[in-house]
Amino acid sequence: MADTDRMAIILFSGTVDKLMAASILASGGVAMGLEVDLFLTNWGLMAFQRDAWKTNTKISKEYEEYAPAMMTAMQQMNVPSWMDNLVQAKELGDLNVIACGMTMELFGIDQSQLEDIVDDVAGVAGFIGEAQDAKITLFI
Amino acid sequence: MELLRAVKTAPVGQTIAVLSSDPGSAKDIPVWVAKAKHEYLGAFPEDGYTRFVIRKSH
Repeated sequence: MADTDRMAIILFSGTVDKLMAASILASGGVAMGLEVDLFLTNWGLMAFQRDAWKTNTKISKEYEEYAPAMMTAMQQMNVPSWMDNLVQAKELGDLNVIACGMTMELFGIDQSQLEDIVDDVAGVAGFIGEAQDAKITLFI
Repeated sequence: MELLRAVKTAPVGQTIAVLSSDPGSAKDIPVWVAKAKHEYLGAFPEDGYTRFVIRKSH
């Protein structure tokens, strides 16, 4: 798929509300036939440490009063987790999950400590090289 | 995503119905069907949800 349109998402945040938004946008991009690059940095990367997503119930500080209601509603409505969304997106289309090398160095994480959905480690230049042709770029 | 999966596994020419209670689907499904170059046969409101029908055309 050499000339597929691309979408690039820089995922900086590690709270469930923003991870959910990123996962839905990524799977929507894949569904619309785009090749999606998801670059994980800082708290976004920390959220991809192995098994961390299973116990992550953090939501953005300014809306934290909604956290219990949101978690309950998602459970009751059987909403797939953000990780399920990404796994499904990867099965159905072209999703590349790239971890930020600098963040990994900063926090002393290596790729074996990250979820299997992470394809690769790259720096900013590597990511931009991949994403510079993207028609849609999002920072979440 | 469930629609995508269904379309992927269905034979060409088959009609597929998606039942959705998400108000966004009324916009999302036709846009996706056009993009994926299938045939959109319409939206049929039911009690509490809508039935979207498409035909897999390739």
